[in-house]
Formats: sequence, C-alpha cells, structure tokens
Amino acid sequence: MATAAGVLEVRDVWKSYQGTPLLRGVSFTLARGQIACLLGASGSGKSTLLRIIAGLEPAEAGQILWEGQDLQATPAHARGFGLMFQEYALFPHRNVLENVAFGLRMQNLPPKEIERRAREALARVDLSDFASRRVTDLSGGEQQRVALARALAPRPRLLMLDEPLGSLDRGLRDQLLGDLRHILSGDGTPALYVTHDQEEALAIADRLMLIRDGQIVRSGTPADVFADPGEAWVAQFLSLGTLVAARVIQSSPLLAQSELGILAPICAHGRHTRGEALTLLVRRGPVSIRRGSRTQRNLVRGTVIEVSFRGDSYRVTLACSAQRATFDLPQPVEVGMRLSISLRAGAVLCLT
Amino acid sequence: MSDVIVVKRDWHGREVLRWAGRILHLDPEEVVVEARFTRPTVTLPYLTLAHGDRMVEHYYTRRWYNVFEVFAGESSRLKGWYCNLARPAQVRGSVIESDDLALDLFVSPRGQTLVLDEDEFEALTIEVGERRQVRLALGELQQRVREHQPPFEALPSSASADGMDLSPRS
Repeated sequence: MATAAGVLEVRDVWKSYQGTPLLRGVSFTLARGQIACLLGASGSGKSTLLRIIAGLEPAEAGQILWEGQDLQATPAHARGFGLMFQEYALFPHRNVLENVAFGLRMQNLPPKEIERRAREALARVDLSDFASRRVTDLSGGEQQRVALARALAPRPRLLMLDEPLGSLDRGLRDQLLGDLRHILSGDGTPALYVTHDQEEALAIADRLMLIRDGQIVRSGTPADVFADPGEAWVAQFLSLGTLVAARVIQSSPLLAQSELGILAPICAHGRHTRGEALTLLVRRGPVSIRRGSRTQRNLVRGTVIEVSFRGDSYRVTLACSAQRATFDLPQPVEVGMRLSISLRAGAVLCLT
Repeated sequence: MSDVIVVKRDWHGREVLRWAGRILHLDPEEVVVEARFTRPTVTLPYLTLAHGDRMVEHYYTRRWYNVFEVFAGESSRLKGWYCNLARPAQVRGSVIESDDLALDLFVSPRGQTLVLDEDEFEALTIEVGERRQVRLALGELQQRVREHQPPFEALPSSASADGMDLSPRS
C-alpha cells in the first residue's frame, strides 16, 4: 500500500550498467500535489531513476507503484505521465496552440474541447496571446513555457521534468523558476523535478532529495535540509559554507578545537567525548567583523586572500593557518587585510 | 532522459536497421520520436533525404503504419511525410519496434500523394488478414491526408490530395 497521501511509491530500486552500480536501493514516496526534486551531480543516477519511473528502462530490482499498483507491466506510453525535458522539443512547423493541443489529439475529444483545453493550458503559462504564433519566433523562455503547457494539457497524473531550465541563461531561469513553481503548485499535479542546480532545487521543491552514487543521502523540505544537511557531502554539495576538521575539547557545552580556532558547534547527534574527531560546517553568514583580536570561541582570524562581489554581499576567503574559510560580508574588504570574524551562535554545525 | 532506440524490422520480424532518437511525445496510442537521418544522402524522384535531416517519427500502437515528417536539416521547412505501412508499433522500455510491410505512401508538403513499392508488398507472403489490414490502413492514411487530419494538419488549406504531378522538380 502507498502511504496515506502517497501516489507514487519508489520501492528499493536497484540498477547497474556493465557491472557498475547506478542505483542502489532507492526508495521514496511522492504525495498528491507535491513537487519533489531529485538533486544530484551528473552521473549520480538521477536521470536513470527518472527513466525507470517513466518506464523507459527496467529496474533490476525493486518496484514502481502508482496508488499501490505495481507498474512493471505498464509500458511507458501507457503510464499517463507527462514528460518535459531540457531541450524544448516542440514541433517547429506547428503554431503554439497546435503544439499544446498535440497531446490531446489522441484522447477522442471533440475538436472544440481540444481547443478549449489547449487554450486553458496556454493561459496557465500566461501565453494566451501567443496561440497563433510560430514556435520558432519565440524566445527560449517562451518556448519552454509552451513545452510546459504541452505537458500539462493532457492532464497527466504525474509530471516529470528533467533539467527543464538547463539550457536557459541565469536571469531567464530565475524568472521562469518562479513561474514554474507557481504553475505547478496551482495545478495540483504531482511533479518530479530533476536538476543538478542547487538554487533551482531549493526554489522549486516542496521536498528535496539529494542523490549521490545511486542513493538518496538526504531528504526533507528545502528548509530542513538547509538547516541540517546531515552529512558533510550534502553541506559541500549545497555549498553551505566551509567544512573543517575539529577535535572535541569539552563535551558540554560542546567546544572543539580546529584550524579556525575554538568553535562552539550546534549538534543534533547527542553527546561527544573529549578527543573525538568531528567534521564541522562553518556557515558563510551572517557574520560580523571584530576590531579586537582577543581570542574567543567562534572568532575566526585570518588574512583575506580573495574577495568577490555577490550583488548583496562580498564573498571573502580567509587563510587561517592551513585552512581556508569563506564568508559573506556586507562590506568590501581588501586582499591582504587581517580580519577577525565573529560567527553568530548557530553558524557552526556538527556533521556526521 | 528521453533517449530511445527505434528498431525497424522486416515482415519476418528480422531486424533491418536501428537508430537512436528522443521522445517528443508519449501517450497510450502514439509515440513521437525525433531523430536525425544519419545515413548518406538518398535522392529519390520525389524526395531527397539528406544526411542530417530532422525526422519527426510518429509510431502508433494500434494503427498499421508509421509516419515520418521530414524537415530540411535544422530548419522547420517540411520536405514531406514518408508513411511506412507496418504492423502496429511495439513499445518495450525504451525500444520501439516496427515491422515494415514494404508498402509506402509519400505525401508532399502540398498534399500530393504517391503510393510506393506496391509490387514489393504484393510479393510478401503475409496472411490475407494482414494484407487486408494494410490496404485499409493505406485508405485511412489517404483519407487523413485529404481531410488534413493528424499528423497532416500542416497541409495548406488549398492543398490538393489527388495523386497527381509528382515529377521531379528541376
């Protein structure tokens, strides 16, 4: 049985290619109306997983269930899942409305109903005025919205998106991300979204699933994952700050000695003993610059070796003994300056 | 993610050719695949299939044909529709299999039609029932062309659907 609200259930899926494991026991459920995002680097197995769910590839072990029913015997074209890919695969010689209506033609609907539904889908992506335009005359972002309308029009029971914004430039991507989130949550169709881009994943997902070497290593709401990445790899992949090795010098309250000085990490894993080795995450912000040089906990001292402007802050890399650490400062500093950076409580987190 | 393999087989079910494509559309009755013509250019009296031409291939799971829309290279210029009479397509995982039954119909961008390889079709030793299915399917295709039904919606409204002048353009 699927869980109470789960419509899609992926149960212990395994897959290898020429002896190399691609997926190693992947399990998750997707609820009605939920947007889940599979986030991973290329080669992590995320696209393979999507192909298996779509029915384009068989799993070696495990099951894909829809409302509790095993889909093994259901071929890809009969699963009722909508697909949307990176390259907006539109029909170049058809106009916008014809492209959107394409998936409705085989549903035995009267032509008027096909047109009504296609126009409705176009309205959802805010392209009503573009119905009779040639798709080749549209911008990349507009083409991608047509592709989304085309995927939504037949009312799929699940929408699968594989790097749908991958080919667009950053500004357009940010704009379309907001639109996409709005359209998908308004539509209520559960969606499985695959990307390698952290920002895209955080912006779009109700639920984030990080996939690495064929396994889901962390799953939760974007806020949960952000607050507690769990393991070092996740923190690094999400680029949450600097990872640093430390040794426990006091167990309660927890204090650890590191190349960045004495740090007071927050820890969700229970007690640690003196001398134990830890991996800590030092977040980039919020931090403040201290004038004084008095040694204290959560105060990082070092020499500025790199500064880059980030729009709303300055990303500063400090060299502190053999360790480098990166912070976001609200004001510019110069390379070569000696700085003392004070970390707020909660800026240092204990990882597994 | 959307990669698939198309396997063309003969009437015995023996593999003739396979090529890679990507899915443009997937529903219970129709799978649309985009592929490139990767073989050397073929010049036919009614159509030149050039290396690199874009093919939008419609496979049907219940119809006795498939239809290739042929576009010139990267452009959206339609060269015509090449229809292969075939057994209903089988979709297994990412493999689409189609048993070709020799008979073809070419439809020009203006809607002129040309039935091809009838003699080859007649020479096939297929069952009477299948032969009848293929003839019915050919009639259905020709009707779709006349009525601009999918996948021939792009035919211009003034198009003539009669099998007429298809002499090579000089």
